[in-house]
Amino acid sequence: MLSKTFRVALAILAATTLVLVSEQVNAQQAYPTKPVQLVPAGSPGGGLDIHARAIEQALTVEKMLDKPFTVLHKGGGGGNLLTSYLVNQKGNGYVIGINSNRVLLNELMGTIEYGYKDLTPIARLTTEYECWAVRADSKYKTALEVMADLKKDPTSVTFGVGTVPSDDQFNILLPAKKNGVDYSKIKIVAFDAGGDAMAKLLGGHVPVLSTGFSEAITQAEAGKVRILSVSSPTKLDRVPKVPCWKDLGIDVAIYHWRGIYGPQDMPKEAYGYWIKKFAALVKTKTWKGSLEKFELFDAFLPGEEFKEMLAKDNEIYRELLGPMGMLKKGKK
Amino acid sequence: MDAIPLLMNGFSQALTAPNPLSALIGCFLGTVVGVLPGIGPSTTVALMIPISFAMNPATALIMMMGVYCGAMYGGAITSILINVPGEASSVMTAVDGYPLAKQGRGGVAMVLCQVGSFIGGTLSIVGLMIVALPLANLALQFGPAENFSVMFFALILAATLISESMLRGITALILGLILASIGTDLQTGIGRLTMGVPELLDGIDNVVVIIGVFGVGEVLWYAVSTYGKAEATLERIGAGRWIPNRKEWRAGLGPIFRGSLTGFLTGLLAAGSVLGSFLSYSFEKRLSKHPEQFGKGALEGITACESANNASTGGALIPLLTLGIPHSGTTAVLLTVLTMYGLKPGPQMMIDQAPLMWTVIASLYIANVILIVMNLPAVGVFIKILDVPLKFLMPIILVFASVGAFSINSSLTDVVLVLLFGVIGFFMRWSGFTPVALVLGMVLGERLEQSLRQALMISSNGGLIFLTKPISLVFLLLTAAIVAVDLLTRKKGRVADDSEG
Repeated sequence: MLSKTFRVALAILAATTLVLVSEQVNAQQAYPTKPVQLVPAGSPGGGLDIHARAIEQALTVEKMLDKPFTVLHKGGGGGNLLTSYLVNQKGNGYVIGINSNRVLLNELMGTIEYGYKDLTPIARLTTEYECWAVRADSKYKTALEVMADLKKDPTSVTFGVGTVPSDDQFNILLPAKKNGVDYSKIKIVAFDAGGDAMAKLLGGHVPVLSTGFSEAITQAEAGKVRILSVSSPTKLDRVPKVPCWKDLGIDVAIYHWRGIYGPQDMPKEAYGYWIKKFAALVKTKTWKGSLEKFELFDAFLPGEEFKEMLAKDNEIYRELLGPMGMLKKGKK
Repeated sequence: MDAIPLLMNGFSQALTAPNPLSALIGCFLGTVVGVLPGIGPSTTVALMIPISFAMNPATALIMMMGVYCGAMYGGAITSILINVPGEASSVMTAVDGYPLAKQGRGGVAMVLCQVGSFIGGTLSIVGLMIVALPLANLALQFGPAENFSVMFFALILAATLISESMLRGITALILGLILASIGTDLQTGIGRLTMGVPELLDGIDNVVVIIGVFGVGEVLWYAVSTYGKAEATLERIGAGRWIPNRKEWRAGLGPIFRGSLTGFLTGLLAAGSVLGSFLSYSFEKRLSKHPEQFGKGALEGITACESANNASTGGALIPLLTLGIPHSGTTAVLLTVLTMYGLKPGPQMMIDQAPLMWTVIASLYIANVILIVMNLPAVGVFIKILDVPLKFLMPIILVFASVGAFSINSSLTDVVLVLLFGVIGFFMRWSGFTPVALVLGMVLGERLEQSLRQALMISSNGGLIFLTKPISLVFLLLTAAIVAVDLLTRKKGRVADDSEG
């Protein structure tokens, strides 16, 4: 028989263990214990802000939001304000930001000394696709005709884009490069934004536009412009007749993506939590509805895969921008 | 065209509950935003996006239209009362409005501005309804070369108006152009003159410079000029009367109609409201029999300017509604809102979404009526600010300016810059430079430079593109003609001055 004292001691030990274990379980489940800051690298109303709103909306509607977000806008500085903000939050698990490939470009071009290696890539979420568009009465019927002119003389076709550096621009440079065109000589004019660039195309001031698919599609459906090519890996449902680059024998696909970044050295449980959370988010109905409304496509890539993609793209951009003299000295 | 039944239908929609209430809230918010320097209509509309999720599209759009129109009305108030223009488009209002306030005619100025805003705003909606399509196609004709020539025309037109020393005017203008080149270069994506400050990559916000050189500059000027003077302690501007007399009505009305036309047409172009207010002001000074009063309190100047910036709203909506193409600024945010409601903004919008679009147009009329009814009595309240002794008013202006600067991007850098530009504004006053020329260069500079470079890149024959494009050529010839006329009259004027002196 166990002595009474021993039994009491055992009971106390068991109770303590139970409490400790359950506390530990609690601690693991506990993240997040307070609101999380969601920081789009853009101003209210812009594309990154829309992403923040759509994330918040989908998580709320689907009852998946454990703690509310506080949305903080870090617009400006070409996205650099978010990067430097995240760099200052090193180790903090309660801040996540939304940005695009500007994180790579800005470091390469030297407008900031930090790049993707100074952040924790959490997930790539969405993408838009790029396209080439001409006016309905243009002499160009296919993208290959434009390419042929560029091959003869790279300065013979002027392209309009919304901004530089951008995927609008890479959607010209990369296909041209693959086709053996001296792409650094191509004339690319940056306008105020996608809308301004479209106005200049419609007015006949530039012959070809490289722009977001969503900017061009309503104009194409109204018969004002013709879309020559799309940058997606396969044809898009909405324009089944328009070839993608691969259909034209040019091995290029351009994603105009947006992704989630955290600060460097963010706690493992926070990192794991958000990868799981976003993996679940992209499967929800509400999220898919938002994507459709904004002409976005799902492009989910979790943590490590996202990071590998960033490393790969960084090298592609470095090679591309070098001959154009756009790299910061010492980055070649 | 069966526009009338569509418009009537729009009115009945816009007047169905809860839409009038949302128009009222929008107008009130817009006026507040317009009065407060810093945060502008585009940011306000953007901040309303999450709220608007809970409303149906018509109700939300009506509220946003109220904000858009209201902000233009409100801008005049601080310009006149405390010399702090909240937006670039009210700069010229401050130039004549503040001197008018000092003469005890601030109330009169505000009343005429509100009336001018109402007429300009309303006429531009009429214009929007009648000639939207042809004008949209005209707007498309403006490429980089045409834009450059228009900007150049506006710049020269306004620069020759700088009445004091030509040399000082041009120096200030060039300083403004240099300030405009700070930030990321659009064509290469590389930062210029940013001195390693990440906030400067976006350039210096026009409003920061404006609040600084006008508002803070005025405060510093007051502080220095009254230093050690005991009698200044209780000095105040004084409200004065606020009902315009017949002569003042007559002075104000002509410019209102001319300003409305200028504003409506320039609204079609990017940066339209700014361009419109500068241009219409310059036109009035040229037409005036007493141009020497401009800058010292000419009612013609402020009414032209205010009607023009309100009329630009109608013009700016044309490319958005007919082509689905926004200018930057408020119309760009409106495009996002339309997309959010799944309305697929584009060339088909006016047809596919006709009832909603006409409700929006009807709501513009309603917003203008609400604003004039709401704001006219408010003049009597606002004018009381001038009864506050200057020694209390001036520190308030300083607070107002700092908060306004902070509100633009929630950035302390902007507050520091506002104070810095205040010091610059002070020294400009002290040495006889006009802050207007600096602001003009700053506001038009970026677009001037970018359209110049865009045009040269597009051109196959270099600078000749400005002469081979007809619209561009017309504006360059007009510029040359005006400079020639000015040179001739300036000589004559000097002779006349000598004989008087």
